[in-house]
Amino acid sequence: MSLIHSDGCPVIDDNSNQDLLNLDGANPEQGRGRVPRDYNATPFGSLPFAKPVATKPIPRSEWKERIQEMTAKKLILSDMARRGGVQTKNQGQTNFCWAFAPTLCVEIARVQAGEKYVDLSPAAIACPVNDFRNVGNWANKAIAYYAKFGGVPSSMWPQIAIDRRYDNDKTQAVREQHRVKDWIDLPRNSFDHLMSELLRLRAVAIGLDAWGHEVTACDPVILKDGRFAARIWNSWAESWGQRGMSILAEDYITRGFDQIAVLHSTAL
Amino acid sequence: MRYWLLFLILFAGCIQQVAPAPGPDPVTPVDPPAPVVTDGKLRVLILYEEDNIPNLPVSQMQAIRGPEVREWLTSHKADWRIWDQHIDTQFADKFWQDAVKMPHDSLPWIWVTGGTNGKGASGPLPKTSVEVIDLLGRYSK
Repeated sequence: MSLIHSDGCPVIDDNSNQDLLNLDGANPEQGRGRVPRDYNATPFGSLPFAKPVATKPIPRSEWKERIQEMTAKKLILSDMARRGGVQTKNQGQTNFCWAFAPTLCVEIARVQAGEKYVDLSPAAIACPVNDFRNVGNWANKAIAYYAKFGGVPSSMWPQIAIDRRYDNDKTQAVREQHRVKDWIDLPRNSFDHLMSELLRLRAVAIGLDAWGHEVTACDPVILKDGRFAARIWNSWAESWGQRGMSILAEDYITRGFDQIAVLHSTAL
Repeated sequence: MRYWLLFLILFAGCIQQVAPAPGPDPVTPVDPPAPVVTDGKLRVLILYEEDNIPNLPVSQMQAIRGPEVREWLTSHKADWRIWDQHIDTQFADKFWQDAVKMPHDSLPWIWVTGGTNGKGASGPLPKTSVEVIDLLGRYSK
């Protein structure tokens, strides 16, 4: 089955568009790499650079009306980000999705703040965290590196380059400008918190158990059948889904996920 | 006598131009806005507190986070920032470093400067995108 949303975006749930997930690895150019967060070692609220969300979620009874209003008024975060210059990323064969999704969150937050778009390199985060091995990890490792050291523009460190030559004095010197010290920790499996952040026009990096993949949730969606869903921006190039995006239904997301978002970025 | 009449007409026109708009708009025009801008480019800062976003009226939250105000600013070639009050500005232009330190009584706050009529505004952020854009329109070309 292949559900398509009214705007043409493919909808993924347990029965629809499963081929887009590439779970069989038919397309080797679509790496994943998300390792689930170890909540025993790092319980909710224990991350040093991500304060636990303190606000109550927006009541579910308000979602439909708010989404309809946002759609009517074209309050679409992903559209706004694109118009601000944010581009779809492509992690290729790397297992660095856990660095790609938070990086996209940073880029979106900066464009929202009125700052110039800087294409940041997820590899510049994932490589030093992973000692330059192409292996999976979890997003919290990426945000800790963003908070301690900062990122590097893709113009100085290509997005998927696993190469120690890029870890040099020049790239070290710019990291401080791209530090992101303040993140928000959101409760595991709380779709209500996810939707609340999306309704407040904040992008959220979500790590999905069923997919083994980390993506960036951008927009709240209500499907034709009344189910709630989230539009996600993947790191599998523009050719995937609808210009790099698809819609994940609540029942698919809530098979298990963790989530984290940018509180505010460093100004440029 | 004729000159006095002409003066009175012009004076009345000026008063009308700088007077705050009637109604609920709480933003007070300031003259001159500081930091002083001399290049005629509209500059706008909206400052807010992230922790308070959930407590704002939805329409005001959408003005802060949504595309309407941003796209107006971009289409009018304004230089603008919409920041949480705790943003780290050490790498920002000195202009914005100074702007973010300007006194304000409450948040969210809007500060406008550099419009072609030489005026600016500083005060509480209006409650809707339409009202924010209306305010900005008074200072743009």
